[in-house]
Amino acid sequence: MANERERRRTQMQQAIDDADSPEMLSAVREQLATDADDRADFDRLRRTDRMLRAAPQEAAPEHLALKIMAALAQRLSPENMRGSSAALAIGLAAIALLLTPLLAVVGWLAIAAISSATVLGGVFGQLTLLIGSLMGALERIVAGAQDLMQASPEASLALLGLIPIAVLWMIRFRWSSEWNDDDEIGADGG
Amino acid sequence: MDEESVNERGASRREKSALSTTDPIVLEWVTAALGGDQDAFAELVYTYQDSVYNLCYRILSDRVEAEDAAQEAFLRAYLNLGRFDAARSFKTWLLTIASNHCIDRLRRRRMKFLSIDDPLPSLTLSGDEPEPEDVTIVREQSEGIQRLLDQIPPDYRAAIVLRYWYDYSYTEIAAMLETTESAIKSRLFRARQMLADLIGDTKTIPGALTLLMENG
Repeated sequence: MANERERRRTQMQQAIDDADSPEMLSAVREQLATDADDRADFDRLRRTDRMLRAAPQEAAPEHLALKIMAALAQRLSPENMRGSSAALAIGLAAIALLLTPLLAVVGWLAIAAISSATVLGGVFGQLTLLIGSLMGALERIVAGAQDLMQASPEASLALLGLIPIAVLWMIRFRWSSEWNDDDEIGADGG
Repeated sequence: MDEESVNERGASRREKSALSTTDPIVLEWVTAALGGDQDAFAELVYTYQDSVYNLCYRILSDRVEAEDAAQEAFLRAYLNLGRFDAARSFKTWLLTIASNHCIDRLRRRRMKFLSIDDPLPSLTLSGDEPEPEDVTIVREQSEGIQRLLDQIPPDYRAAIVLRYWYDYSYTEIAAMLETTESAIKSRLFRARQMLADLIGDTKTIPGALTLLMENG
């Protein structure tokens, strides 16, 4: 019985929102014609609906737009940018502090290596090997670039042209990350 | 189901069709604002400040807090303009930001709701200076409705405000409040029932509200 009443109320609510099918609408009409309680319920809902439809709109205070633009200007001001720089400096200082023990260990190892001729010889040998292989890799890259230049000069020019585009893209990406990190919205909405 | 109520709904539909698209001028302002033009963003603020403020006030029930919330909604919109989809309505996008922000604020405030059995609090006008009679009536109506809205939960209130003040459909409200259409229907129906019960049970409904109910 209670469920039936709830169902009828839902139909009445939908009728008020114009969301009933024609069949449902005629069923509601019949119900209202025969049941005085339902008719009273419907009248109360309709009066509420009318009141809400006619409710006044609150106008924004006169100064609101100016206040918003001032807040926006403040948020984008150099002072705030300076705040970001200070945060960056603090971050770098923290990293340096964390790296100090590591640097101390590396220094101790270097002193130990210098004090032993065998270890020192080994370190120099490894360094020479590393530098040699880096030079070899660089030579191969230069040779490859020369071959490409001879085979198709247009392709190599296009590749050179991509460098400023990539740099611009990285700068833009950094800017958009700053905006997005600054404030997240609850819903995308759009 | 009389002819009058059908006409009311027809008028609403006509208003609604204007809500689903974004005016080309508004799109120009958005594009310019995206390029850093703050004057273009100021145009957007002037155009939509009333809508955003009204939404915030109806959900938060506090004029000072509504101002803060409206300001925050515009700032968030500016900072996230890049995410706005130009194929959708800018106003809807902006109101989505505002309504979600207001609901978050209300949740943080952890408001204690009055029981619906409690009588309505008496109306108080915000100023002591005499006002013209019609201004007083509109203010009474506005505040009287607000007293009623205060007594329903925030999620219900947001649904009612988006439905009645902005004429959004169930589907649009569901998208804005990130929930399902059936949840929105349920919230709207319960909210309307609660409001009807409040109006029906109290003997202290101000005359200004009675005028609205009778004349619409």
